[in-house]
Amino acid sequence: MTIERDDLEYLLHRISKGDQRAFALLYRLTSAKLFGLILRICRDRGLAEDVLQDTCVRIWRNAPLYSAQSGRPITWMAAIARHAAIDALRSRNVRDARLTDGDDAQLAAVPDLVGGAVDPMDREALRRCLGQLDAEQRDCVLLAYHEGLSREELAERFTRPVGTIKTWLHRALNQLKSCLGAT
Amino acid sequence: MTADDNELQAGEYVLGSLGPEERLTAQERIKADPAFAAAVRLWEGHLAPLMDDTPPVEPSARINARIAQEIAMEAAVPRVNPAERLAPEAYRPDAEIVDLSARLRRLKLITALAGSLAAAFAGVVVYDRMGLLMRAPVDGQHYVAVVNRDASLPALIVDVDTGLGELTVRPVATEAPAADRSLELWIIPAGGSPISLGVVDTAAKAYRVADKTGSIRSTGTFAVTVEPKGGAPEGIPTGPVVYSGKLVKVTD
Repeated sequence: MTIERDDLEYLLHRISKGDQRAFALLYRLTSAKLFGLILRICRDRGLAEDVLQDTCVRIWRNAPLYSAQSGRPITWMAAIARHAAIDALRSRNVRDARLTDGDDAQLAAVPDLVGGAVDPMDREALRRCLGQLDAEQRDCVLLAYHEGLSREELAERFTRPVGTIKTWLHRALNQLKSCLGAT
Repeated sequence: MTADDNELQAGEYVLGSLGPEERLTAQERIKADPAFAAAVRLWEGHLAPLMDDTPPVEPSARINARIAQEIAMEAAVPRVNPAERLAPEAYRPDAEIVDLSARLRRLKLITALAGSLAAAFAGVVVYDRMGLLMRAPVDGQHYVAVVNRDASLPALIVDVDTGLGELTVRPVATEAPAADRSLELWIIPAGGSPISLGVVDTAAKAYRVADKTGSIRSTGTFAVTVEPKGGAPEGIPTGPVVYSGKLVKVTD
């Protein structure tokens, strides 16, 4: 079973009216997805749990502001989760924290209920455009998006000056823009 | 066609590669600059398929329960569309509050943990600032809640002394309601229903309220709603919540 865009839009609409049962359902459908994204950025389970709670409160409070112009519901929610995680990460020095083995074991068996919420055409276009980037620039984009690495951290990882990383990221974004715009 | 500086900054914000100061600037621009906000949304959409690379992870039952309780507390007060809340221009901050606001922003830079945690830290800082104005705690436990709008400027500071069974309310930057309306202060105990603490005297520098119900302990959320003149007629909130904040322990 995967969840369609309309289902999540309807739940957000119900939540905007203060419907707690709609929130409970939305949570059941999306919390594993959001928690996966948060945990990958935070790397610390306790911090990730605080961020998930913060994310849920923000979704509850901001549901009335959600509209079709905000993008797909899962994209809107994932953005709230990722940015809350990145903000939390920047405010704490937890870069050295690592997932325990127990956490890794848990990464396996959870079904992705909202995989269908992203358009396969969009996925294919992004894959193709990322494929056209230089390998190092593509890695920078992916490490920033998935793990929330800052320019400084990327500079350390690639042993390049921060200015070079910034140039790479801008070049990659420019190429992505023109490639995606042409599809 | 290449992206301009704004689009690149929006793209880097979405990627997550900006440092804390540039992130804060970007977040403020999203609120104030519709073109920048649109650029951010466009990148969020472009890059969204990447989220499918990350496997879902089931949160623990403990955190599920904690979040359900948190949402129940959010739901205990009537909903208001954030876009329909009182306009920010209605603020009339004095120099002290502007200074506090700058400190809060710097603090947010450091902590950047929005919501309850930011409010918690803000509570400590504001308490520090307001220390001279406040009475020293007598026995009992001492708590402060910074009651505000979306973790922004403090509107009210509620100081609770469980030893004295008394609250001190300081409306530091509370907007005066329309002539036929009153602001009413509520305490919402964890898992409970809102209890009225009376109409907010927005003109007062500070005033005291006796904790008649004895319901204020270590946890609870304060909320301020817009009610008919004189307060909600049946003792239950009817109007939109304009401010809220949680109790933070400040001394033993």
